[in-house]
Amino acid sequence: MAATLNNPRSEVLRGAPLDSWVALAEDETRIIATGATYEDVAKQLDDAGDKDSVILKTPKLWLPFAV
Amino acid sequence: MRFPYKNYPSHKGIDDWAAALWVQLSNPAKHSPPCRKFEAIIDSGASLCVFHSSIGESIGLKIEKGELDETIGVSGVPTKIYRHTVSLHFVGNIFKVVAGFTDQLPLAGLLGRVGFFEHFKITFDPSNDPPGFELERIYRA
Repeated sequence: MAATLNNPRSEVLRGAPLDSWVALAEDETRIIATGATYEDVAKQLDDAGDKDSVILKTPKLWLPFAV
Repeated sequence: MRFPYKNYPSHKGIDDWAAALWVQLSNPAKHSPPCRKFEAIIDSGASLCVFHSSIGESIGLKIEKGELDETIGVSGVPTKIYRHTVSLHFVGNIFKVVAGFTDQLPLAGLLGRVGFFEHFKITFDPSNDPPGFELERIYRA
């Protein structure tokens, strides 16, 4: 079963720092902020007046999820 | 409500994908505003919703003051979690849930059976274009 989604999101995430928190633009095409904690990233978004970006945590390695 | 799956990079060059939602949490005990949107994976194997401690701290939770419990995942290693009552917000829905918090989670959050699946009929359909899933709210009398 090969579900594919044609968007640049995974390329953007592949370039994101590992084991970190990142804010993705709402269209998921670029990283807006990175930090060591959720609060670090949220503060950067607050300071920039950004209300739309979404925050993700990146794992230590990009491996298939089995959580 | 239909949502596309989300792509994730894979170490072998082929994208992984998962059913994920952008959600927010708030702290009903402090009447806090919802935190910023974050991405949580829908996980039918998770007994309850589990979120990273960093998000809980951002809404004023003292994580280790919650009820201590343990979960076990595919690695077989027990993980300490601390239970707290929070409000889960997404797409106009707000649910009060007892969720686990841990700093051992490799991602921001998991939406599990208690607190999430009990509110929705969920249809996973990777054969559609784009592949995705549907949520249908369950209203109980």
